[in-house]
Amino acid sequence: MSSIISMCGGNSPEINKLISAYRDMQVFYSKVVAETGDDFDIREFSKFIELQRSTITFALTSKGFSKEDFAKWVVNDNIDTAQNVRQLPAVLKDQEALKVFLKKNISEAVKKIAVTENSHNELNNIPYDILGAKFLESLNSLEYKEVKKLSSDPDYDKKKTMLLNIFDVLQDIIKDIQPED
Amino acid sequence: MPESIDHINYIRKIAEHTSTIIPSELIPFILIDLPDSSRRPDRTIGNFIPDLYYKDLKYLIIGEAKTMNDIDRKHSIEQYKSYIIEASLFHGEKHILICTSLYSFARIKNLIKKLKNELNSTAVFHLLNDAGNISII
Repeated sequence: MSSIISMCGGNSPEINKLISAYRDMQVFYSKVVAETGDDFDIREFSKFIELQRSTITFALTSKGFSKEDFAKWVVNDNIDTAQNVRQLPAVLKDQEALKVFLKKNISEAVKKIAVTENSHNELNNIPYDILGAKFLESLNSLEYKEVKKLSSDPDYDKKKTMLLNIFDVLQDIIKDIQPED
Repeated sequence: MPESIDHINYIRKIAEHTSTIIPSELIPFILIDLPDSSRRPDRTIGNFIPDLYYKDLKYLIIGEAKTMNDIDRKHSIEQYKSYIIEASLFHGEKHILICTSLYSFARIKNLIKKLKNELNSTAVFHLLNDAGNISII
């Protein structure tokens, strides 16, 4: 491990996570693609990195699913983006979202959860640009000590996931509005 | 619109491969979107203009170069679907050529297999990559 770190950088937990993701891909994903006749797509690796989170594996096993099911979902496009894998525990817990996930994909399922959570919320009718402007204003007015306090917030995981999701979605949108090939 | 070097190289690969499909005397009639080309595609298919286009009574050839970040975006999937629908209206030989990177090759193969099945397409897909591999689906 130390020679890997000296050559490639990174840290031991991160490298172990990548090794486990590679192993899961070799064991579970390669078996599923062999059955379906699909090609082994190395670009799916990022989804298997997300699978290494303990919250994800715990959610899978506690709902009676396995890593092989996860691999099937990747091949069948139920897991269409890596960024939404971290929403899998919430999707598996919500019957409606689970149905949408199994029939369509996790991106659609996540929308279902969002709708359920906010169905009585007056923010639903406010256009995204106005919400965005307000959100930006709110972030800009955050004081540094408040940002530092976030890590001890009881809702830290939820808030962090929300911020990361916003970041991912914005990156996708920015990618989509760039000039195309 | 400025194109990346990768994109231009992929179009060149598609053009090279086209010469294995149609007789050499027809090559000058291919419309191709390259900086040194005097005959560029101008026909819109769906809302898209392909990177390479050729059509006569016997052959329809549509070529598209895709860089790795572009291969499975919504826009691109709509584009593949439009080309498949266009091909379905043609009664001769229909060929759709897509070139991408080696890194994205499995992704495009899996994607096209699914789309072909979903749209019940009889078009022949020639999938190429920058390492010289060719897969006919």
